[in-house]
Amino acid sequence: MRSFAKVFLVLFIPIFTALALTFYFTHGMMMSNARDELLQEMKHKWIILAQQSKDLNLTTIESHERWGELTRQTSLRITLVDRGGRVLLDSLVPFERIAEMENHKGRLEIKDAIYAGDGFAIRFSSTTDMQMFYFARKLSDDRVLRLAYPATYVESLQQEFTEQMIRAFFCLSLVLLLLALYFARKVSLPVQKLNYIADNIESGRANVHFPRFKDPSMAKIASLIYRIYSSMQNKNLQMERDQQKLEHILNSMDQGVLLLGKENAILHANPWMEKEFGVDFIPGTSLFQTTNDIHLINFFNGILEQATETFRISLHEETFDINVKQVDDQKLLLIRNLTRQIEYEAFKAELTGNISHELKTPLAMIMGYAETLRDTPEIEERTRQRFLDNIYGSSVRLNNLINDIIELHKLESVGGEFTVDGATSLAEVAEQIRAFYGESCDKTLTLDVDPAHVHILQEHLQSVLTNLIDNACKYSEGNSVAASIRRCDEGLMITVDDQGPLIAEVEHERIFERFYTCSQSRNKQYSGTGLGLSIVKHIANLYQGAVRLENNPEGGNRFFVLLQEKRIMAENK
Amino acid sequence: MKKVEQEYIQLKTMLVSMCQISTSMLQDATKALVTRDSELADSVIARDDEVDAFDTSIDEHCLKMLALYEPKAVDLRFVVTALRIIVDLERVGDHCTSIAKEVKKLNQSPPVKPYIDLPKMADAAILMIQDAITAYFNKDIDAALEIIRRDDVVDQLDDRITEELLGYMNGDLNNTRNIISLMFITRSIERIADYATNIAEMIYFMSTGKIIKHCSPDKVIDG
Repeated sequence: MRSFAKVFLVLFIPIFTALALTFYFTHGMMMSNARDELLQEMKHKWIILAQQSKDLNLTTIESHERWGELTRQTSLRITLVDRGGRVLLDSLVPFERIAEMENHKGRLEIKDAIYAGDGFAIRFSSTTDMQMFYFARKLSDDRVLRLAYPATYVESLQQEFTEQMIRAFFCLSLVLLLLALYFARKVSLPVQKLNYIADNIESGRANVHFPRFKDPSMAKIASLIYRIYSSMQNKNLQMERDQQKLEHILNSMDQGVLLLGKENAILHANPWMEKEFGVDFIPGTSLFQTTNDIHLINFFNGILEQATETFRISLHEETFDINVKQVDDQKLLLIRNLTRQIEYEAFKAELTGNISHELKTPLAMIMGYAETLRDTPEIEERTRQRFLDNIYGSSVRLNNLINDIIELHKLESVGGEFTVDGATSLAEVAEQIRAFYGESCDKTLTLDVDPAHVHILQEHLQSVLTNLIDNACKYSEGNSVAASIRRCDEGLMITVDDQGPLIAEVEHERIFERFYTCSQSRNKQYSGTGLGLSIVKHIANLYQGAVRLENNPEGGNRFFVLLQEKRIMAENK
Repeated sequence: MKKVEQEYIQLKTMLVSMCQISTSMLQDATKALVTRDSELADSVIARDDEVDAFDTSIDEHCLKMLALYEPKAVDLRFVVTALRIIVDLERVGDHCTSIAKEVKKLNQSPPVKPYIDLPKMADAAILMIQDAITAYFNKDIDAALEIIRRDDVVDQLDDRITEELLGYMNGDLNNTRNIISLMFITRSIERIADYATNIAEMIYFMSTGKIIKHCSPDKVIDG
């Protein structure tokens, strides 16, 4: 709309102004011509009247009468003035009152006629009470003959001419206006359409509508814009997709990505950074602007001061692997928390050491006794038997150890990925335990079992029970071992009680660690693999349960194992 | 980013670096005592120059900020507090140097006693200094009051160690020289904790405009 108004005004205003000026000057010229013509006419009339010199010499009443008649018929007023300005004759004033007329020497036309020969003036006459044209010329006898004619002719001519001019002016202006509107529309419409396209593209609106152009040149331009716009849209879309992909990759990375610009301004930080360091990494702010923790500032200061690309740095007892890439004036930091990896490596080294140590002990015994038997054929039968028993015992221990390691490994590799197809009867499990320990255990085993079916694998239940009861049978100095398997609100609660000796409170947590065995006083007769309770803990973890050791009222130890049934777990999820 | 913001960030990082060096000096001086490592004690003494250099550059930086940007209200108190904090940090560095010199003397003779409470006391003082600087950046008055409270723990450890050392002195007068050195070290650590308390009091003043020197934190809370 603005462009339309602009074009319209550009077209209309200059032409309208030129037209108005033309009319104005034409009008002025016409009026001037009319006056000139009238003056010329009056000059001619003056010459005719001047030739009547004898009449002019006679300022008699007759000549006044004759001139008065001429005035009445032609409206021409004739005045004769002497050199001193006294009126001698005036055809419009009664003869007897001529002498009373005021001196005319001050009148412009008279003055000019006296001094220059000719005089002309247009002014209002109090005698005729109207606007008059005056022409005066000096006669040969120094008198001045003045002719006056009413200006009504020129005025009516002017009025008529002005009216016609105004009418013509308005008509032409109207035509001009319509033409200007037409051309303004014709010129501005394509511009408006282009403007509409530009506005839509600029506002980022999707699917911009491209209007049709009648003009082939404009249509060509519009089609070029459309092609450029489509190509840009496709590129934008591609870039957005790429950015989303990149964002997704950065968000799902298990390490921090921090891009820094000049003055350590944050350009990008993935969510890992905020999660790991608990600080908002707001793009646009400085790395040290929102960070107020002295350790964290030190940490990043340390990173930025490093000259090498890859290094390790610590923060709050955690170790981070840092990779710094310098790209122009930007710095890309890749930060990876190695603490768990280092802990895992330490744990693995410790585990390997423990396993090899535990395997070596029975193996050394087997090798020692076997070597003695081989090298000493004359050995006593009783001693030989004892040695063979020891070899067998060590082999059993080795076997148990290997079985435990295999079972533990199996439990670790299963994780939570297993299903319980059917329900296990607790009574059945209890029956099997009773049958097994009835013969192998020298202590009285009391089993208190809910006659229920649970969604826990039978082998896991048996493993928990045998490991706990085994320990109680081996290490307790009392005569009885009590076990109970009961359902509670939280799940299935297994407790195993012995009659002491008590396990020191400081060992209550550590006893469930791999290869941890209690102080010597408790297991002086029996040496276990140190894996039994670790297996129990693992099984409890598989069922999202817990293990706990407490002292019982009888002065013994009570092991609690809580297992959540697999079905209940699934329902909870 | 505005130039003035960059200046504040630079002040922040320089303060952190100064604090880091001062506290690492105390940590290493204590380690040098426990592990009888005279070389480490020497490195602590050498680091005092770095602390002094930071003291000078932060001082100049703060004066430049005051002259160029004419900070008002909280910003002015922030800069002025920084000027006062660096004085205390510089003194911490001086105390650590003195401790390291004493450690070198102590390492020339057999150890007087096993050092258990002394490293604990040093760790508590280090943490107080570090937490005070963090509280300064956060303008956290609660943390500042907590630091003032923690000074009592250091004072108790100081009393306990001094009492213990006096016992050793009574037992073996030949060790008097070494025990006096240890008492000097203990007193220095206690002074370092006092500097942390000073900083905490300045933070309280910076954030509230109230002076709480010579007042217990509980009285401050009661109003």
